[in-house]
Amino acid sequence: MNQSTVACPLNLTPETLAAYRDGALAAPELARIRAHLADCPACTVTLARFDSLARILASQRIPIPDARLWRGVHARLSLAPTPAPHVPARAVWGGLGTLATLVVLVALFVQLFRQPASSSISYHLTPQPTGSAAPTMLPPPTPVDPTTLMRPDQAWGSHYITDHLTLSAASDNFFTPDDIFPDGSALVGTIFRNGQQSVVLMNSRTQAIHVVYTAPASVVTPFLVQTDGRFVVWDGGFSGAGTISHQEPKIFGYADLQTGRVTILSVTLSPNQTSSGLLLLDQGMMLWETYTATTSVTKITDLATNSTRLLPAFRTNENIVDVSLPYLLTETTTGTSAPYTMKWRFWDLTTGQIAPVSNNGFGTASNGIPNDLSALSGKKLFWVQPASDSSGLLTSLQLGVINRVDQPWVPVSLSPALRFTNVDSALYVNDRLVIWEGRGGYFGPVSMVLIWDRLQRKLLCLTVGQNQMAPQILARGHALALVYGGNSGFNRTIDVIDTNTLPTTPP
Amino acid sequence: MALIVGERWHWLGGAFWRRMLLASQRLAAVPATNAADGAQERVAAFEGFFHQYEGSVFGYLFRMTGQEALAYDLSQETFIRAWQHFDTVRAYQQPKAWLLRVATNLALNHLQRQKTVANATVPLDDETSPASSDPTIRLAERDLVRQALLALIPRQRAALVLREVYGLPYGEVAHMLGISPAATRMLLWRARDQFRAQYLRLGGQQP
Repeated sequence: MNQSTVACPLNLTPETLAAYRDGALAAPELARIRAHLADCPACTVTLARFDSLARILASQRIPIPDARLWRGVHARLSLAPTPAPHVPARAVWGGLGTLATLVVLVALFVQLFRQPASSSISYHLTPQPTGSAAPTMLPPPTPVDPTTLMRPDQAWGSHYITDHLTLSAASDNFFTPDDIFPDGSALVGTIFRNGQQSVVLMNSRTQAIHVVYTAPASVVTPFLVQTDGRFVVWDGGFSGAGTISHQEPKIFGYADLQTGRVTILSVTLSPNQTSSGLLLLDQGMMLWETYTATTSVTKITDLATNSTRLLPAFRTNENIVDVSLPYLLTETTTGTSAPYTMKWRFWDLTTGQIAPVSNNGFGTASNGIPNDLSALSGKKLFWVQPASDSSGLLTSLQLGVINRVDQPWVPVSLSPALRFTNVDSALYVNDRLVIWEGRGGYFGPVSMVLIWDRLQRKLLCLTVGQNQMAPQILARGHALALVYGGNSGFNRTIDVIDTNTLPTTPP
Repeated sequence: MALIVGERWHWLGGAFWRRMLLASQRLAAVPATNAADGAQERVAAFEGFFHQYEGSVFGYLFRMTGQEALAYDLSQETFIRAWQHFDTVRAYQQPKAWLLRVATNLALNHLQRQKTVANATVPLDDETSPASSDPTIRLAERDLVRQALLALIPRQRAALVLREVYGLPYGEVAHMLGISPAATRMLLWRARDQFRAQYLRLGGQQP
């Protein structure tokens, strides 16, 4: 917020006043500020601004849902199971049936994935040209600058897309991909069918779907499915059994694809714990957190041995930015208004040691949110910050790469022809590529996927058709998947690219 | 194009798989009973419940996604979850909080993975839209709210909307987003600050 023209004698910051307004302050601080407000015009003005912002937010024009919504829900009610507690026998049979399903599935799963320990999956991709339908491309006006513009029907669009999948709501029952195998051979995600939510694998080549786990009706929704090629983990959401009491069990699960074993972790929170969340799966290690009112407890579970260890309570007011085992990056922000000053610290999770990173100017950002516009790969932090000209068009991107203190930026210049206006909140790093999203376009806003090839030091640009959402990007190991569609419900196409097959010299 | 639609089940004994799945699901299925009347009553009760909350849920998801079609999809998903837990949910004192929580899960899951961007098809102004309750806010500015909101990262957007539009207590926002209270305080502050900056940048009037 702007500084008021009248100074506050206590020098209360707008951030503190916002916390006061939200009821986020402890009692003594609350009383102190309440007493102070009567005599402080500056703080009164600031608080009035918050009220004004709230009114502006509430004024947003919202369409009124029409009968389509109920029709859509109603059509699915007959498919969706609903527990009927007034018929106990049904619950018993249902429970036995679910158990039977689980046993059968696990047995099949074991059979399916039984294989030598060295290989985590029984099928592999053989890259081949496919000539698939590329996403709509708006050809940019010439000339272009040092930025390499790649049309999707050239280098990327056809020759290097190893698999092109077309999903429809009818045939694939709302498969929602969340992650990809490091070798690109399968996608993992959730599926909704026959009224039940399941965690599944989908073979990239054949689109065969293998159910890993079907959630019982008491669990609200498995989501955030991740895989490292051997394990599949998911956040099962909350049980739905309790009220919103902050003390209900949280359900996680994982499957070992080598043994077919499915393990369900039910986390019962103690009274002073507020929540729990899955952070990441990498190299057989699952990282997750439990929060109390004042601290976060970070845990690492070795999925092969099902052993969990707690990290020491190493941080307060530090947010986890990203994890790339064995490294963890946290961020603290100071400053109460943009530009903020952000400081990062690396943690070595094997030793618990800290390596603070000095911020070489890149730590201050007026419009950058490190949680989304940065990513960790090993001990390298990638960070994108746009620079714009007076007309609001972005002219360059600064790609910050830090693997030691005071590492300089990598400048990436953008073609004016792109008429690039936004960098959206996404950044993905795999072994070779840094991938993020933006918007711009000569004929109006077009979603773009920008790919920085670290090997070639080239910027590749994929544009998606006008009025289309940017594709969902899945990146793991040397696999990259771009998931298109979503505006029209659950019809999707997925391009899977094996980045090992990309040329190492410019085409 | 390597389209293999329709051959999914022929892969590696897929037919056998499917038969086994169907068989196991039949085991789980309940024999048809004469409880059809009860089922109809449940659906009728659920329809009432649905109409009571559809505006809130849809409005929240529209604010979160900025897209009508997506808000329809995610609203539908939210209410299907509610149907699966209907007996529990309708007994809550505040079913809306439960619904918003499920909607938040679904929206963040979608947005964080999908990284939705706003498309430019929504008209800036609409003569038929109902008059603003606040006469100081011009109609055209109200779409600025949508654009400014969409410029925030999804978690900021959720925090700000849940707190300021739906009036959820601060602790509830922390719980819904699955983050610590300290992180929520910072998230809410940044959300306000960013929203205001974006709103002004887009030409909104100084709040």
